Amino acid sequence: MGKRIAAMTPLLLAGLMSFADVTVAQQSLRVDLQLEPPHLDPTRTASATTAETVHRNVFQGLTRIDRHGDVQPGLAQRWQVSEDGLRYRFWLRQGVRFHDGRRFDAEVAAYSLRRLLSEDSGNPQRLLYQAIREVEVAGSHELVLHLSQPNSLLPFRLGLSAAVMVHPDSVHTNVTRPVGTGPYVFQGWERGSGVRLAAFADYWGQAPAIKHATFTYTGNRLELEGGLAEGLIDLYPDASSLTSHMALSHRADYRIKDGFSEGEVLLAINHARQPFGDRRVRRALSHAVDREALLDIYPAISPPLIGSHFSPRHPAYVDLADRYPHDPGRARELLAEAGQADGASLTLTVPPTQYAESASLYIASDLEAVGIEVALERLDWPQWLDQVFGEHDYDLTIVAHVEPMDIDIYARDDYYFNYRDADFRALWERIEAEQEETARHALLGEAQRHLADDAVNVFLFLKPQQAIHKVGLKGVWSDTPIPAVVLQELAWE
Amino acid sequence: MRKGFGLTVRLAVLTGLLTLVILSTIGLALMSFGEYRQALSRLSDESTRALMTASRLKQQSESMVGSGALLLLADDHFGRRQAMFEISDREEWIRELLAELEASPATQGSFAELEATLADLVDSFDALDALVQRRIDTQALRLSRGPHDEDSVVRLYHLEERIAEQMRTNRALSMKLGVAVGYHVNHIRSQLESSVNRLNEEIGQRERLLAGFAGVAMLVLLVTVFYVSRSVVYRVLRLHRAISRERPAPEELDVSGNDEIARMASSIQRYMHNISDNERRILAMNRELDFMASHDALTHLYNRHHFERAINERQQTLDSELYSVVMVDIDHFKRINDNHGHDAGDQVIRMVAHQLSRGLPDSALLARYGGEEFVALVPGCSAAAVAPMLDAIRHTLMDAAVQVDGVTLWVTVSFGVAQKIPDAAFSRCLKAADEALYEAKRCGRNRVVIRPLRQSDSEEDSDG
Repeated sequence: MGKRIAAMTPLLLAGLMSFADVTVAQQSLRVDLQLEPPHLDPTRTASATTAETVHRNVFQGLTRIDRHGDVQPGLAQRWQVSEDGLRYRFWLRQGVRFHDGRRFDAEVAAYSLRRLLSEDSGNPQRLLYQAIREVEVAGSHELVLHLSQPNSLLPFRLGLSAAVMVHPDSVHTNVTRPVGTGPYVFQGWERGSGVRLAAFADYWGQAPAIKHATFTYTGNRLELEGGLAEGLIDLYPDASSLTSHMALSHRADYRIKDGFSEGEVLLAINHARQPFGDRRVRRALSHAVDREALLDIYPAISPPLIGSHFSPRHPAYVDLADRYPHDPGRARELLAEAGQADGASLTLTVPPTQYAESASLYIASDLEAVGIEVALERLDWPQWLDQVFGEHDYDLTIVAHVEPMDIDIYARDDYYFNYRDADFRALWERIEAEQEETARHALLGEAQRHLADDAVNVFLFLKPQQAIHKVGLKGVWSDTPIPAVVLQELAWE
Repeated sequence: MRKGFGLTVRLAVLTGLLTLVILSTIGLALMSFGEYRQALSRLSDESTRALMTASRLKQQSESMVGSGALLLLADDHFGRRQAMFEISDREEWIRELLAELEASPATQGSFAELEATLADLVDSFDALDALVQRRIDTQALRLSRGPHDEDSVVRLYHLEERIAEQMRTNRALSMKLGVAVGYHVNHIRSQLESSVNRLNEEIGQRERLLAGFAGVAMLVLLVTVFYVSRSVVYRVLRLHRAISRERPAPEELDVSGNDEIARMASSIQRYMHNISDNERRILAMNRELDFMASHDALTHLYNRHHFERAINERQQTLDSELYSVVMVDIDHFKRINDNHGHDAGDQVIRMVAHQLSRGLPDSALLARYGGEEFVALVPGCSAAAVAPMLDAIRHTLMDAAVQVDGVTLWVTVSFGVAQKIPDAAFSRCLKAADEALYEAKRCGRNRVVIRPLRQSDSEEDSDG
C-alpha cells in the first residue's frame, strides 16, 4: 500500500506542475504605452503615460471615475456636501493599507491633499484644487474640506491622477518606487523591459484576476507595430493611427474597440514667440491647415473636428469647428497684413506619438503651401516634456490634451502656451464659482468662443480611442474619460 | 548505559548510513534537475532572444532598401518627409537591436564593423535625402519656368545620375549590414549547438555519478543485510537451537559479546543454570528420600521393608542357589535401655550394626529387622561357612566396649543361622533361623546356633 502511494506521488506532482503552468500564463498581461514616462509619481507630472501606468493600479484617490466618466466612491466610501457648498465631509474606508504595510487614515488623506495644495509640491494640476481653503481631520476616518467658494467639480477632480493618496513616509521615493493603496504593487522598472506590477496580497478590495502586469514603452513606431504583429503585446490603448491598423483589424487574434477619449488634438502655438503674439498670424495658421484632409491619418474612422478646447461629448459644447475654414488664400492675406508676406520660418516640434508624427507631415505641407518654411524637429517624450512643456522652448507643436474638462489651462499664466489673457481668467473664475448648471454651461460656451475667436491654438480634432487587445481579454475600456489602464477590471477568459 | 546497547547503536548507524546515502542520491538528482532546468532556460532565453534580435536586425537592414525606394519615389516634400520619418525610425530601431545584440551574453566578437556600416548607411540616406530635396525643388522650378527650360533639365539630369549612384551605394551598404549580421547569427547558432552538447555531456556525467551513488547505496544495503543476518538472525537461531535440545547444557550457550543478544543469551544461561541446579537438588532429594525409604535411620543398614522387598526380587536366585540366613539379637537389650537410657541403647545398636556389616561379606544383604534384631542373607554360603564368620563377630563384640556417660558397657549378641532348605520357600529358612536364635537364647545367649537340616523340613514342606 505504501509502495503504491510512493509510486503515484511523482505522477501527481507532475500533474500538479503542468496544471500550475497553465494557470500562471493566463494571469499575466503586457501593455504597451508608446510614450516613456519621465517617472512614476502622478502628482508631479502632467504626463498621461505616468497616470496610465500607476493611476488606479498602484495609486488610488478619494473618488474614482468609472469607464462611463461618472464619479464613484474610491478610498472615500461616501461624502456629503453642506447646503452652501462650502463644506465637504468624507467618510474614509477602514482597513486600507499601503503596499509597505502602513495604514491609510484621515491623517494620511489630509497630508496628501495639503501636499497637493502646497506651492512647492510641483503638482502641475494644483490650481484645479485651489478652491480648497482648509483640510480638517474630523476623526480617524473622517475628513472635512472647507472651500473658499463652491466647486461642484471637486468630487470629479478628486478622482484624477493628480489627487491620489500618498503616505508621508514613502512619498519622497514615489518617483522611482511608487507606494500606494491600489490592487497592484510596484515590482521594478528596467529600461528596456518596462514597469512590472504584481497583485497586492493585502488589497482591501477584491483580488484582481490579472496577477502580473508589465507596461512597456515602445517609442519606435516600427518596433511597436512589429511587436503587435508578432503578438507580443496584449493591450495597446490607442491603435487608431497605426499604419498597420487595417492589417491588424483583420487578424483573428486581435480585437479593436471603438470608443471616445477626452483628448483634444491641437497645433499648439507658443504665444511668447514672435510672430505668434499677433492674432492675425494665428488666424492665418488656422485657415492654412486643411483639417478634413488631416483626418486621413486615421485609415478606418473619422473623429469629430473641434473648433475650441472642449469635448463635443460634453453637454456644454458649442460647435465652432467652422470658425476658420480651410482657406490658403485668406491665410496668405492675413500673413501679409501681419507683415509676414516674405515668408515666415518656424520649427514644428514633433513628439513621438503616432498621430503627431503623421499629422506633422500634413501640417508642414499645408503651412508651406501658404509660404511658411517649416523645419520638423522630432523629440522623444522625456525631451518633449522637458523642452516644450517645461522650458516652453518651441514654436509650434502637435499634442493631445487628454485630461477631461481642462479648458482651465488657458487661465494659467505659466502654462506652456504662454497665453496670458485677463479676460479669460476672469471668465474662468466666474465659471468655477457658478453653482447653477445651465448658467455654468452658458459661461462655458462663452469660454469656448473666446478661445476660438482668439485663435489661441489651431484646434484640430477629438482624439479617437481605439484600444487594440488580444481576443480573450475582457474588461478593456472603450472610452477614456480619464487616461487610465485599469488593470483590476481586466481578466482573461 | 552504553554496555549492552551496542546492537541497537550499530543497527541505527547502519540504517542511518543507508538513509544518508539514499537521501544524498535523491538530493543529487534533485539538484541536478534544478541545475539543468536553469541551464536550459538560460540557454533558451538568451540564445533564442539573441536569435530573434539578430533576425529582426537582418530583416530591418534589408527593409532599409524599401524605405530608400519610398524616398526615391517622393515627388513632393510631404512624401519625402514621410519617407525620411520611416528611415530614421528604422535606423533608430536598428541601433536599439544592435545594442541589444551586443549586450546579449549569447554573442561575442566586435560589433564595431556593424556600427560603422550603419553610420555609413545613415550618412548615405542623408545624402540621398538632400539630393531628393533638390530634385523636388528643381522639378517645381521647371514647372514654373516651363517644361523646356534647359537649365533645370540639365540640373535634373545630373541629379538623377547622382541619385542612382547613391541608391546603388545604399543597396550595397544594406547588403553589407545584412551579411555582417549573418555572421553573428551563425555564431549564435554554433554557440547554441556547443552549449547543448556540453549540457548533454554534463548530464551524462551526472547520470554516471548518480549510478555510482546508487551502487554505493546497494553496497551499504548489502552490508547492512549481511550484518543483520550475521549478528542478529544467525545468533538468535543458534540460541534457539541450543535451548531446543533435549538436554540443553548452559555451557554450550554462546554468551560472548556486549550487546542485547549477548545479554539475552546470559539471561537464558542463568535460567538454564537455575533449572539444572534445581534439577540436581531434586534428584539429590529423591535419592535421599529413596535412601530413607529403604534404610534404617539409626544404623544406615537396610530396613526390614527393603529386606523383604529384596528377597521378593531375588526369588529366582534364591530358588536356584545356595544361601544362608542369619538372625541376630542383642542380649539383654531392654536392660541396657532401662538402665542407661535410650541414647546408650542407640549407641549399642549402632556399634553392633557396624560390626555386623564389617564381619559379613559384601555380598550379604544385611538389614535391621526389629528394635534389637538384625537379619542377613548370605548368598552362596552354607551355614557351616557362615558360622565362623559369625563367631568372629561375636568375639569382636565381646571385646568391644561402649562408653556411655563415663560408664563402660559390655555387649553380647546371639546368632541363629539356617541354611537353605531345599525345595522350600525362603520363609521357611527364615523361620528356621529364628528357631535357631531362640535356641541360642535358651542355651544361655552369646552364642551361635546352627539349625540342622531335618527330614521333617522336606516333609513339612510337602505338607504345607
